[in-house]
Amino acid sequence: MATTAIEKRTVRPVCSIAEENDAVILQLEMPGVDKNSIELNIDGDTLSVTGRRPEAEGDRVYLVRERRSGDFRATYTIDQRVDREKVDAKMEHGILTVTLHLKDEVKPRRIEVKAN
Amino acid sequence: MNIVRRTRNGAWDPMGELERIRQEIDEMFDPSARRLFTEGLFERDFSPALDVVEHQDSFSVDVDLPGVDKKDLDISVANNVLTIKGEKRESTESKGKVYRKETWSGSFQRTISLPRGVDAGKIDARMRDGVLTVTLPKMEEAKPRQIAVSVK
Repeated sequence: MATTAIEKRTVRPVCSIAEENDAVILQLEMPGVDKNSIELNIDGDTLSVTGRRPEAEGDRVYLVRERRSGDFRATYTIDQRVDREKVDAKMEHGILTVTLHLKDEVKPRRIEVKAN
Repeated sequence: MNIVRRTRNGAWDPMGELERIRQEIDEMFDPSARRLFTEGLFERDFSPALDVVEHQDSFSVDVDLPGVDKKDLDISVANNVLTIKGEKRESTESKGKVYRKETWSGSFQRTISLPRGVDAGKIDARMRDGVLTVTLPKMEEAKPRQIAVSVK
């Protein structure tokens, strides 16, 4: 993915995705992000998550610098099974947990075959 | 660690080796692509990333520790070495289908040699939004002093 110089550099958060109890659960590690600076959008089949990190104030003299700077951003493609109206998000200890509930009709249904 | 790794049937596979090296270099630049292995060309383990910043009258150490509870952290200073130990627990024990797993859990440890002049008795540590910040104040004699010289 190419980024232009004007565009601010973003980091894709480390994530885990699992499905259980009729929901898809996304866990994104976004250390240093306040819950109020998270944007979660669903546009059609695209779920996008942005987590803004506060800018470091003033000139900082780094003796060691390993942490990546920049905002977190991730986009995922979601299918029709996800109920757009039932999305929960929770931020705890720098981990954002997004619960995407699946629609009822996709739960397995047994169809009885009637004998004539 | 072997530079040339034998495949299981003993044959050397140069194209496979190139692919493996390419993948490892990719992982260096994209931590999210990192596999949870400790083998390969570059050593890696569960060691959280940190920054050490020098301020006017203190040093600060910022460590990315998402999902780590503060009660699972053990911070100590001995002989001018700061040790941060802890355990990252699995946040949800997933019983269902796993589509992707990039997060890790387990214990970790980092040690940092402190710069000279840290007042070990006044070290403060706090956890916020998954980032641990350890503040290490400088001793009075280590603080920069400005001496005004009047020109006559």
